Amino acid sequence: MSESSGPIIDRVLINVLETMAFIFADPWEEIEVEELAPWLAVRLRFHGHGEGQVVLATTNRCARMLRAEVLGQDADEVTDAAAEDTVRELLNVICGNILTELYGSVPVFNLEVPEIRPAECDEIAGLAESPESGKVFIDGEPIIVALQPA
Amino acid sequence: MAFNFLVVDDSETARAVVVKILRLSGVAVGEVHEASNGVEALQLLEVEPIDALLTDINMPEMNGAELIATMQQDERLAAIPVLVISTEGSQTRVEHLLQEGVRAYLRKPFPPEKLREALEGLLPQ
Repeated sequence: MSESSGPIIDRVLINVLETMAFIFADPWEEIEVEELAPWLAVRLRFHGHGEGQVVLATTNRCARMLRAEVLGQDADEVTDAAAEDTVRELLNVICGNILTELYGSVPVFNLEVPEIRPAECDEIAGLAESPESGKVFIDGEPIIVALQPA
Repeated sequence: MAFNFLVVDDSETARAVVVKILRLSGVAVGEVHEASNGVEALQLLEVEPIDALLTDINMPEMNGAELIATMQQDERLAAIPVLVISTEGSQTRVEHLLQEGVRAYLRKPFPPEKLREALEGLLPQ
């Protein structure tokens, strides 16, 4: 894996959003992280052929919007727990596809259960600047996915 | 003829996505039941007439592999076609599942036409 994985993650992220949620992503633009807070981050560790984690960061608003889009609900009625279930599942699908894109279909990986937590702005800025991250907007809200090999 | 399905996944989001894609697939869909793990799935299989089971693998309490193994021990349940829907991308694991009684496998995410193709191979025409 000598080249940056950013373009591969971009492609996976766009495909998963379109196919799983019928959401069409917009290109990334520079953001003011503090203005978009609060953020949350989901981390999924993987083991096996390689070790590391994939992190998905987005705003709380975007998490609720994703849930509403997928389940056909009103975003104002989406609970935090329901929104978290959606971003966990989204990361689960994205992570599986990133690993297959990067390493092929022969190696075996074990994925842990995704962990979710609030995220600080400094961490989000670091993820957004990483060449190993994919980044899109959906309806004006950012989604960042970063690969962090151990 | 409409077919009854059981969708098994611990994520409500994942189940909703599968149900949505199932209804868009063009397959004649009757009742769609949902379970969040293998234990709940077996309880539903006891009382509901299910034509095909669509299940994830990684779930708490009883995972998809354990569910499939349990179904294989029961003559009636072993006859229900199983489609695994998972993020699993390893061909090694997929081949193992196919040896254990799984009839077809789809990796998430997938469009409605892929689901239709998979189900057409499982359901009576």
